[in-house]
Amino acid sequence: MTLARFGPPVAVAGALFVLLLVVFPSSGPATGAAAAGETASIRSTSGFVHWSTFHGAENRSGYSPLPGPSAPNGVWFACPSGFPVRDAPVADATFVYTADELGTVFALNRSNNGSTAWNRSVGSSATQLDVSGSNVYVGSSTGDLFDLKSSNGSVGWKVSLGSPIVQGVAVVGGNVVVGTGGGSLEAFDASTGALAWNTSLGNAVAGAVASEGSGLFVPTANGTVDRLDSMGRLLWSTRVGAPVDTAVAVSGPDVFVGDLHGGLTDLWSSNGSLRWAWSSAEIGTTDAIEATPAVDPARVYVAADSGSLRAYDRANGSLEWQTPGEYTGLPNDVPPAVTPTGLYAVLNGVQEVVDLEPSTGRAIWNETGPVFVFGAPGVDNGELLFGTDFGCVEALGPPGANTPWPVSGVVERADGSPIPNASITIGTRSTSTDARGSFSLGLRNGTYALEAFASGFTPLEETLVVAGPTTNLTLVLRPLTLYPVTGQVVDGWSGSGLEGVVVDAVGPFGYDAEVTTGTAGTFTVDLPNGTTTLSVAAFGSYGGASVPVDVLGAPLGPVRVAVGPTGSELGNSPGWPYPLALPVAALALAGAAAGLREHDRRRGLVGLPPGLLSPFARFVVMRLLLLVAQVVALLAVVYLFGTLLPIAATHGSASVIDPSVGPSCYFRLSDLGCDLTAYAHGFGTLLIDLFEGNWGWAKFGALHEPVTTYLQWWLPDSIQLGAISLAISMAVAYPLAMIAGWRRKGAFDVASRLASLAGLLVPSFLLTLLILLAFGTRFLGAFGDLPFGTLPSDPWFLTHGGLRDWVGTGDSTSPTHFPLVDGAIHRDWAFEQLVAAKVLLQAGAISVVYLTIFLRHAWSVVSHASHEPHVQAARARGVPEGTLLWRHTARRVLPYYVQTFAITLPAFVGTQAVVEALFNAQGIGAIMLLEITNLTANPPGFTGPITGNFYQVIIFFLVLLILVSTLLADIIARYLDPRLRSGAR
Amino acid sequence: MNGSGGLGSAPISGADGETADGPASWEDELSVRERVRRRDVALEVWVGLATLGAYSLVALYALARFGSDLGRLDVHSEWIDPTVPPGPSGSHPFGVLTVAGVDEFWAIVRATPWDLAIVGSVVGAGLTIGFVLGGFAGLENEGFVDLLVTSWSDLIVGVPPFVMVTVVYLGVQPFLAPAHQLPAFVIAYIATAWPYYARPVRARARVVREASFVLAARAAGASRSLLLRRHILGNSLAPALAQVPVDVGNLFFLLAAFPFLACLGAQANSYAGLSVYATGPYGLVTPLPNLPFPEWGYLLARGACSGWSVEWSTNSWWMYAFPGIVIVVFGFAIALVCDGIQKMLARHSGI
Repeated sequence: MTLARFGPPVAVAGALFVLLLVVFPSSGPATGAAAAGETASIRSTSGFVHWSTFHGAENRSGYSPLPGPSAPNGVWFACPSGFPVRDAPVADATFVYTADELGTVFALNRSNNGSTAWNRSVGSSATQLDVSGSNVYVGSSTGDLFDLKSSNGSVGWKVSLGSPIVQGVAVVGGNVVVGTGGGSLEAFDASTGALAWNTSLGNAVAGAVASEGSGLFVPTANGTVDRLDSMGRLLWSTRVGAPVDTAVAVSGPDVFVGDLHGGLTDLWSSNGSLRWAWSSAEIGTTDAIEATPAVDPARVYVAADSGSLRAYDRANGSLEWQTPGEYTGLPNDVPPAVTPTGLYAVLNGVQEVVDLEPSTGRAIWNETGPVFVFGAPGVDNGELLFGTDFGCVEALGPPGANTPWPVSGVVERADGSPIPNASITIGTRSTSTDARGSFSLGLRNGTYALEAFASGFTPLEETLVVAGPTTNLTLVLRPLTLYPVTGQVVDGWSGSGLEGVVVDAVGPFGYDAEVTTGTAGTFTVDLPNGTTTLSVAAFGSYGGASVPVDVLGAPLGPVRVAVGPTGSELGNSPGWPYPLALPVAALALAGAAAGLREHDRRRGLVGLPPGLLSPFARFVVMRLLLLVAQVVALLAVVYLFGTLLPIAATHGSASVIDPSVGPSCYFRLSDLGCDLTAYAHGFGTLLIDLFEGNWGWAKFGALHEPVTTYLQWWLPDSIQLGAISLAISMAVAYPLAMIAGWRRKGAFDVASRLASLAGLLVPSFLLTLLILLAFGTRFLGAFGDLPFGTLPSDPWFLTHGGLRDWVGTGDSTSPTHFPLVDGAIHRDWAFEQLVAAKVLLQAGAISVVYLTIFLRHAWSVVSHASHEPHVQAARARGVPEGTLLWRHTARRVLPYYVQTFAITLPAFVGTQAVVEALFNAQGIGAIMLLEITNLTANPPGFTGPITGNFYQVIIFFLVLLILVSTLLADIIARYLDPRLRSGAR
Repeated sequence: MNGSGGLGSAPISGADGETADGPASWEDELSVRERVRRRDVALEVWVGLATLGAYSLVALYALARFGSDLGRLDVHSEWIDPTVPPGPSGSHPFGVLTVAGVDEFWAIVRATPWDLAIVGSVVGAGLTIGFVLGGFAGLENEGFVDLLVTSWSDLIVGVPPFVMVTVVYLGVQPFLAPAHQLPAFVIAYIATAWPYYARPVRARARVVREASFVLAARAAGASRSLLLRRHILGNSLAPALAQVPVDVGNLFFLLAAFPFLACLGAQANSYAGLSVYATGPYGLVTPLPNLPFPEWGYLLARGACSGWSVEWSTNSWWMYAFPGIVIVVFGFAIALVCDGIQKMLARHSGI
């Protein structure tokens, strides 16, 4: 698969997914869910367990996938405190937790009419609580953060921040993250309370920190929304048009921000750019939004200060409905909660709890509260929970909510045979079926999510409404539909198939199968839709491997499972002290080279005997010694900084070849006690691995292969592109620089100077984009394919004779891996023509950019040469200028051209990398840029395109390439120009 | 081997860093300072200085007008439909950049002090360090400073500068507070940039130290620092100046390229050919210090990322053209000043 081909599979997967949903719509509560259940409805409820934190979940969406009460029936009403309870109560299976304004946290027993199970004072007024696992996190306005054990309220840990903690705690990646009024974000280890990181945002945090995945979304008081990663690094910061005073709601790709001027903004969560915005000017009034919006899959709901509730289409921000609001002098700053069946809001001005139809805004019920101002509503397990101003918490639920009814049934196959050991989960209760496939539970009235699951069957998910004894449930589970998947287990280094290897397939829904490879390592295994991991356990001299496979309703294959050497992914390195000896040897070599150089300079006779080698050979030997020393020193710099990378430190496998050394040293460095011997040992291992070709394995998209395999596939592409663009550059640069440099101040000279200066100052990616702009569509017209990638695109192949059997995994061509050569070998001239055109256009883009750099250096050489004494003398004798230029000077400048090339080689490499990246070509330069751009991404491990030590290997290559080229250039220059030889000391 | 070169630069030097064409003539015994003082300064220098002056005035204006709010991309007060971003008009002279409706003109104005500071510190520090160390190295020849300069330069030129800067910066970045990341980036850049100044200065200084007037001064008992100040530095100015525009170009490449790639990665609906970064599981993040503040390279990157399209009809050219023009004009002004001074020096030193 090429880079270019990642797009279509994802699109196809998406299309298939949508198709699944369309073809199998939920027709009824019992049967529909079973049919659609394969992948569709699992995700809709699994993210939500309980209304456990501010606005329901840490994405602050206020959305509960389980319905709330359809009528205002009291389940229980408890008044644990005498002081106002304004924040939404939070809940787990056992307790409802709440805090009053004096800072006392209460746990109310939900199975015992809300009786107080424990209470704990946290000092001054408490923030919204956050329940995570068996802990309750709460902050106080004096800046203390508490970890309370949910079972009994005992204090697990407590830290003092010294700055008031802003509403709402988030638990992300094992850290408790809080924002402060002082404008900082602090993260503490959830289990110990140790400071994990902190970062300053410059402005007071305006609302609860929202989190989704590893992203943190923080509103600040001056109207910005900042996105940070889970390590607290700022990814983007977007300012909305007005100050913000509440948390943002995050849902899927959207971040919804309400502001104090009444505007609602939808930002793309990926980059913070605007998706849509709705200004209060559109209804002609400024109606501040101080409550976090609620978001369901279709709409976003806003409660404005006036008490007006509004619903907008998520996709485009169009206003779907709104309720009239009126100012009562009491701003309505209570965030609403939404479920699939109701939007629950508390209207402070009129002291009402309302339940509206989410799609139309029509009232389902409303109730005037028993006491003054209500706190925010929360919906948990079918109950609507809210606090009141007099320290009470009320739970509303369906009628008869307090009576547990027997609920029982059987789980069976379509033919009626029972399925034993199926697990049944209804709401928070779960059980499993007996040998006859039957189960029973006791449940109170309510609406529950029911999930039935058995290994090898499609899970069943449906909604169960309990309103009385329910004893005759029949749950029919269907076997998973299986598709044949073929594959091959190969030796990653040699590519040969391995026979008799056991492949274990662990799929979704508890699916598990085993298969043994046959001749040439091939196997066929039946897999259900979804992601299955094919894994091979370590055997013989091979380590294990695992490859994820996505089945999308069709047979698949062949899947390549490559296995490598035992132990690690790093190849086998000899143990101590061999590695340690290598840096020492390199140091000695560097010393020897430096010494030799010094003696050469001083014409001293220590070192090599003077008569032993010619000065030229002596120069070469010295430079070779220096080269090795240079490579080692450069790699040392890279290693040093590479091991400082936090990813390497926390995840142990990322950027250092020996993960056991660098990271531990990193930690010890931070304690100022680094073990230098171990560090040097790690570096030595790196060197040996690099020089011996033990370059480990790397992940690239779905591929997992030895680094050498990638190089084998893609290095020829880069070499092909580089060679052609260099040829073009040289062919153009030589005459161009000769003419421009010869006539200084001529129009040609001035024009070329201006052009090259502009080319130098405009970043190469922009020049490349402009070239693409000029040629992209014309190219499509002429060749039937866009100029992206090195090989033709799949659509082109399909319309031009089908996919070629000599184009394999990774878009590598056989037998030589050079596409142009292989095309010629197979006499595929249509292919050849398109690839040549693509490569020429890409090489042209590189040449244009590179020439601007090269010319700057080259023409000064020419202009200098044009004034040399022998040229002046010839000119005085009346030799024509043309002869002077092309016969006298042209040869004279050649050595300098060679050296100029060596000097500008890094610029050339950089240019080629950028062009490769933009043209989407698979190439080593593009991979290097991806790797560097990706280094800090996705902190919890390397989940980006490439994992492993690819970037060190590429830097190693670059260093070798540049230094060897420089050396060659110097040698060639000396060979071409006798003066350099004799003139050298 | 040599990292020097550039507009009107010295001849490409030989393998061990010396000019290949032997010592230049040094008939004029006046010091450079004298020579420059006596000459009318070339027109191009005046033009370049005037342009840089204009930039500085804009920077001062931005500082005065935006003050503590300088560090944020401005957001326009009205909401703008991102699907039809407005081009240049009376109310938005440079059009609108679709990052929540940023007015391009004011964003560029706000960026000016940042960029002048970044370029100023990189070029200033690079020149100064390269100049002093290169001068010393050339003057004392084969001493400790020489060893330091040559070995560090030999190392640095082995890796493309943008790789080196990124690796060094990424290594230290996690230990830094956000406020210190930009200075750290600048320092990392200087650490990799100064050898490119020091090498040509050293090469020239090695020639100059053999010049008759330097030998005379030495014979008269001039101290080393005096030699360095009076003779070596002034006469080694030209090749270092030649490196300045190259460095400015490199710097803006670095500042723009990574935000550009990261933006492509983050863009949900990208262009057909570049969709690999958008649809893949990449989530690219710029390895540079986060630049939520306006900065020309960042604006150019965002502009090229949001405004470019393979079709002319859907191109929002102003998003990348204006930041591009601002950078190019600024670079030209610097190049004019540097080239002009070089020429003035060359005319009178006989090189």
